[in-house]
Amino acid sequence: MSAEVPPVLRPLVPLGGFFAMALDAVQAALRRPFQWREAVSQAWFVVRVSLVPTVLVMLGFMLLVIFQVNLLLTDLGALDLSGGIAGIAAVQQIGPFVTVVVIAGAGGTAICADLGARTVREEIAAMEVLGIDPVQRLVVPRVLAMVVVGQVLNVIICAGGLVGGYLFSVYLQGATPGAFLDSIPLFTGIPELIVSQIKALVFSVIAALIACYRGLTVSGGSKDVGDAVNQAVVITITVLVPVSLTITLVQFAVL
Amino acid sequence: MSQRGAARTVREVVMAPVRTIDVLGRQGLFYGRVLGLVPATVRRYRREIIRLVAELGMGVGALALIGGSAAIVGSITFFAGAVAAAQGFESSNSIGVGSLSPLLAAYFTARLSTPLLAGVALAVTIGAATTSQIGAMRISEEIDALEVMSVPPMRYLVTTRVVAGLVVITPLYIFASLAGFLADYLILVFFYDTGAGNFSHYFFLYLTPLDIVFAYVQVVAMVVVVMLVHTYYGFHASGGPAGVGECVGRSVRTSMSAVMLVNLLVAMALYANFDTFNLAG
Repeated sequence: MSAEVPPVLRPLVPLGGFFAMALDAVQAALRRPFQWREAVSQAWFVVRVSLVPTVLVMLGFMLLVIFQVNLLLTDLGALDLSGGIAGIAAVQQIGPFVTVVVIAGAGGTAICADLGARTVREEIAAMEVLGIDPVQRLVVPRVLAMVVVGQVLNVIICAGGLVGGYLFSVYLQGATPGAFLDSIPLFTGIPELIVSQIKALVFSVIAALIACYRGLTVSGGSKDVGDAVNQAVVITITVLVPVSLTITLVQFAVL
Repeated sequence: MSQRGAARTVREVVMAPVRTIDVLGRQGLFYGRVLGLVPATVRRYRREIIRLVAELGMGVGALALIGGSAAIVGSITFFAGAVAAAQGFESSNSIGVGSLSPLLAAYFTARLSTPLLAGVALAVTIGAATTSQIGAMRISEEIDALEVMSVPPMRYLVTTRVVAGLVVITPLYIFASLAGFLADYLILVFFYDTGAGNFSHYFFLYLTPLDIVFAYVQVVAMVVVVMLVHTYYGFHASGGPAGVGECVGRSVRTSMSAVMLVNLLVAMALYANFDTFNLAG
């Protein structure tokens, strides 16, 4: 296939392949029977590999932000507002972002490694020979699993970030507990939470599709599976940061 | 479940914390040995280190096509800086001090978004690539072959990469933080119209040089952790082609968690002792 493509356009081949698979996945998602069993077991798998990294990465990100913001606010004499900033940080920016970094870094790598190993062992080719569509059987349940887990993890991260921020600000940096709680709703409300969940949804769909696509297009041996996993997580994170900026700008323009 | 199966499950659950400590100890020994070998490696394998610096900076294979790790780290910190600037402007504008947003941008980009995102980006680019490379060598028994040829694999493969990571981080960090500042400028001046003069006044008034040095210390600490964790997982890969992919995934999980905690601890140690921010000048 790639022999007919001129060298200049060759980088576009995987891009086209990715969108073709994404469209196939949308189509296959509407086709019955849906693979519930696979989806549930994948969701459990993604939760298992990503719960501990989620908590650790969230604590690292969130406490650093709270720490720096409180230094600034103390200097301004506005430590009363630290709850508000914690809300912005946890719900609007860090929550969805950490969700996706962990989903891509933990769940995505595991899914990509799994599918990549099946591809080099020619299990995927065997499925196709048996007339089973790998997109419907493997990709769709994984995307759904990542989306569900992403939504749940985002809630855990937002809540955990606020609790961690509260403990850190109140016990280590001398914020007033009441003022902290009172200032959270100043900047963060239900619309912001909904945007946060939508962000997590978009991010996890992109991360799942990239992981599955890269896993299914592995060719070669052991080095190639490792490289594919590496590329999947690099591509996901490189794509997601601009997407995050876009959603943030749209949110400010609309809300 | 049979009675013996149940007993085994119980034993596994009880022994799980012990196994964790066991793994941590093994990793600690590995890291100690790697760091101890640094002087000897720098004397012996200088040329290999220079080759690895080029490889880590530019990336290999498909990643080199889109500009290598430098371009990836730069683009990630660029967009993170843009998010910080946009959020800073919108939040400060909602309480009527939008023209002060370059102050917030300088503060948050230098202290938060660049080091945090650079940590994530380092783990997924040069870190994961290292695991996949060394892991593939382990699986195809190239590491055993090195030992047979009496080339010490710890020095030749692991310590060289840690040293190369330490060399490559300086230009990478400079590139990453410049990308973040450029994003601040573009977003605030062209998108939100805060005015170029206003931007450079507040931005450079509150961009303390020591902040940039501290962020550099954070990033150096993170790159050491990233290289150590990823070489450990690559060096101990097992289980055929599937095993390499799995160990890349496991190493990314571990290094991201470790990097974030190290980053937090280093930042607290630095900024709590030398608070460089002074609103009144």
